[in-house]
Amino acid sequence: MSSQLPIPVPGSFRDPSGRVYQLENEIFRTVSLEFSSEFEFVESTGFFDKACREKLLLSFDKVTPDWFAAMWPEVKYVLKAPMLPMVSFPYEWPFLALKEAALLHLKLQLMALDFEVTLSDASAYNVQFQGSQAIFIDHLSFRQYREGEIWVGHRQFCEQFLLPLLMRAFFGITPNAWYRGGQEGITATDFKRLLGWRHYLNINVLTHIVLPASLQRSTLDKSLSLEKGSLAQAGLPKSSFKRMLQKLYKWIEPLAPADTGKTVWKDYAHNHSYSTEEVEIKKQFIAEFVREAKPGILWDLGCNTGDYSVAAMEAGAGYVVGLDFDLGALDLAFSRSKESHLPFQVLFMDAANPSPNQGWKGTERQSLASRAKGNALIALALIHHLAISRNIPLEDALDWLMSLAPMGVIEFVPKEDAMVKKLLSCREDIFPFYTEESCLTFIRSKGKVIKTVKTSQSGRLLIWYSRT
Amino acid sequence: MKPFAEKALVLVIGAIFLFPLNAFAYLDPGSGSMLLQLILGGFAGLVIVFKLYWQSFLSFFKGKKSTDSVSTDKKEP
Repeated sequence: MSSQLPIPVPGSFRDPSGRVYQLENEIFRTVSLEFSSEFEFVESTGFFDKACREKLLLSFDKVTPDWFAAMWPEVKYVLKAPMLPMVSFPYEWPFLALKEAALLHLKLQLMALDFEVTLSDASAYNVQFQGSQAIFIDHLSFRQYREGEIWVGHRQFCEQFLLPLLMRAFFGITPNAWYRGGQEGITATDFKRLLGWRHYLNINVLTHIVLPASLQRSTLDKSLSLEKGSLAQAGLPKSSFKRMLQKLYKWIEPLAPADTGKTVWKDYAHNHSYSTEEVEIKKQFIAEFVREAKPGILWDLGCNTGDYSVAAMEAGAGYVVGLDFDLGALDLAFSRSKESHLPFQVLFMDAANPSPNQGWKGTERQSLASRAKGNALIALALIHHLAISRNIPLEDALDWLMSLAPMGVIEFVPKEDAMVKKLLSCREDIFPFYTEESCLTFIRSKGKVIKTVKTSQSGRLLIWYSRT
Repeated sequence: MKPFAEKALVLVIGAIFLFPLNAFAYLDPGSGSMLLQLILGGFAGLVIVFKLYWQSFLSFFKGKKSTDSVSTDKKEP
């Protein structure tokens, strides 16, 4: 028997049919006695096999660990699933990732119906990413389909997938901050208020937003009375259910952000102040670091469109998590990952305001820092944005970066550099301690400086650090 | 929305709450979404809306409240 006991994973408590536990590096999902007949039904249809084979659903094994009977007498089955390199939440996804997740959900629901199976909800939190590949992780969301039943998850699908996508596609507004604040997506009632008259000409908008929102509103604060009547004859036939899913799929698939103009960083790769030679020096240094550190998971903070993430992967990094606050650049990085099938996952993050612990009891959705499992990090051209744009003391910023991974490469961008000059052009220089010397002194106080290299005439410095 | 139509829709919602269409769900599908899907479901759903509308229409002219049978005050969360 293992010396440790499995720990419940926060955020898996909502569904009474089972819970998720972690034991060392393995994930276990319990199937309760009460829900087991539904699970057995779905298993008997062959749906799980097909969905796993097509990599839409996370593969799993039915196991009987020796400790489970004593620990969970009410549990009928235990499913073991692989750990994902990086758990992420929908408010951290760029547009294209959320779209990928939405399409995955619709594909799975359509496939499930062919097996007389349906999904019991439409939570975006049930989708995770392996690189740019969306994958469904909740095996207990599937149950037997009963002829005529409605799509229970429709409202949740709209709130957690469709409306955040439309927010960007219709108005060019990024929904991530709103999503992070409310956790459950955007309601049709709220979204309807944003619509202009021309949106009302769109039949999909009328069907999935205007009509449900109006009907919902009309049912509020009313006492109801009725004979049951002939409702047994009503319901949603399977053919209508499928048509609804297919139409949604066709609507969502071509959606694109409305703000297709320049965002801050996506043009950076072409317009920044580096010369090609500097880029090469950087790439070589990153490659050397990666070959030495051999990270299973590398975090690239301020990844932009992923140039250095790719350099790191080429040098042997197993999996790269790229983080940036520019959603336009992240969409390009996501497309790059998808086109080349790279082990490269991109997430939205404002380094000065990373995802906190939140949700129920403040533990349901874990903070970015507590999900940091990277063996190494690179943070190129990031420190000046924290220290100068956001007034975070240099030492604090370095301390935070070094806390995320035991080793890494941090780029120091001096005041002589054009980018920093620009940041200081309209404001007083209140940063006397923002110097290369302070940077190196602090890193040495927390660990070692393994190697440095100057990459530009202006004095940019790459610093390879190790905490030990 | 017109008062009659609204009343009829409200009655349908009541019916939905009474009828175990989603007996296997642990998620509240939302009355707006449920009613939408009944309408998308076709003729039977529309007939129900019409019948309820008619019932509500008659009740209105007879000056009776339509509280003859089962009642519920279930509201949206």
